[in-house]
Amino acid sequence: MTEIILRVFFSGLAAIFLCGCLFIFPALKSLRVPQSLFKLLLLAIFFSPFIFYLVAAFLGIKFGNPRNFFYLLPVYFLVVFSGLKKLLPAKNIFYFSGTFILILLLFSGFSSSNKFWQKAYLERAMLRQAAETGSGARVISYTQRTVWPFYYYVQKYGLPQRTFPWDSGRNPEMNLDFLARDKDLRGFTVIGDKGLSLKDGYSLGTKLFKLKETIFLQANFGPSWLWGYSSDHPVNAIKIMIFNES
Amino acid sequence: MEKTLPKKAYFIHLGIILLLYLLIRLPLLDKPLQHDEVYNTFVYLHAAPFSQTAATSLSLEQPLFNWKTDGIRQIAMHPPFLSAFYYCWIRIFGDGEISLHLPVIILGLAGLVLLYFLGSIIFGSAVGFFAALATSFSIAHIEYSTQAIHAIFEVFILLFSLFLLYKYISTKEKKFFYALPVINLFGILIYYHYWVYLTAQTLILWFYRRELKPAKINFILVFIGALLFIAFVFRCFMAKLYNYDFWMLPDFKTLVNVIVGLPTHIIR
Repeated sequence: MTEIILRVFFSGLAAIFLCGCLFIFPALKSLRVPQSLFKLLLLAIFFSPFIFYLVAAFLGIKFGNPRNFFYLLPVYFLVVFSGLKKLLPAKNIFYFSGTFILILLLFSGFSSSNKFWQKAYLERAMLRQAAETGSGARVISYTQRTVWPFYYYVQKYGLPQRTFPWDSGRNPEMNLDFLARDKDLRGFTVIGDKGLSLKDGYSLGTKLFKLKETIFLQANFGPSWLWGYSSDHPVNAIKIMIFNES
Repeated sequence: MEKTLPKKAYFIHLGIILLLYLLIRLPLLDKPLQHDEVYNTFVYLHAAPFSQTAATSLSLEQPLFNWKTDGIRQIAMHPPFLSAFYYCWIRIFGDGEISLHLPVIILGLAGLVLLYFLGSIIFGSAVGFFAALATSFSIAHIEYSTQAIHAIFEVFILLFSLFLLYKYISTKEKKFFYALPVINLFGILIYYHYWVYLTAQTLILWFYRRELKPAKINFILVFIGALLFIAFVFRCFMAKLYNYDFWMLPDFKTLVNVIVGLPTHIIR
């Protein structure tokens, strides 16, 4: 249910964004600097990477990481809220709708919508990684602590705590995750960096580290394109560690 | 131009943005480093061109990861400026969580302030205010503004450049035009896809060259730079340095998903 709500919400945001784009187009009639020009410039900035990407796709080049689009986020929201303002010119309704969007954005971090892919893909990804690492590898799955920011306040002020999907299933050995936290980073050696594609567009980005005699692999994996949720969605982040026992 | 608000209203808006931004970010200041941060920090300290650190011995049959063996790939992925910045930063402030997260949290906030002003000028203060808060509340921004990687630097540079461009176009004061190449230089030294934005910016300036009278040398430098950049990317591409399986699938659906999911994209 949460997933459906979030899909509808983010699709709605995208629809308002497209409305905003349409409202900006009339600026073409009067290309006076600065304001009309700037609205168009914002659109050009937003869409030019997509054009660049489409050209690359046309040439058959698999090019780039979706994170490359992140810098467009402020422009995206400018166009969304300018579109909302045009759609809802009444001041009160605009403020009400804007606040509603903000609240939904803030609480979209609650989502546990990726449960299904944990079940479907975790095992497959682990097995594949284990096979690649070698027969002596031991696979331990674990979750990282959520970065949902209000968890901090919930903990601090003793409010009822929310149990996150995989917190209860932690393996005690997951504390090894915090090697990164406790040890001097200069003790690490990075010995590999690669990405693997799983079926259906799912991806697995991996980094291989070495700390003293322990070699471990950290992997992000998830449905890169499924509604924007990916491996490191704050609540749903899952990593895999593969330890070489020797 | 939207009607201007009294100064007090601007301060109230900025105060709310600051308060909510810090309320969300400060608990994350000392969050455990994500694996990309650990990896990047290693790159900053070991693989940066100015680092003399030798690679340590490895027991796995993996290629050695140091500047000699992996430097070209590193430069193919990201320009070296951020590595240089963090190299110096870590030498001064250490490589703890707070030390690594502090620059990005500050830059994230500075970017929101710029976004608020830019949005206020172009679409009105309400739009600027809501856009700044929405950016601040988006999962992607929360995550990236507390991670010692490139992403939040890109946002800040883009907004700063847009702000300078707006000031130049609206006031026609040359000081803003002279500041533009400086910030553009930082942009292309921080992330390569800044060239896409820089091309759009240059085309706008070219289109209005009679009205704005920008220096011709600007166009010449951008043109030469773009040619060099294309040659560089082409060379790296032919050398299969961008050969990552998990990169974007070239189809239209992917682009639609990027637009729908932009506020939530957390992909490394």
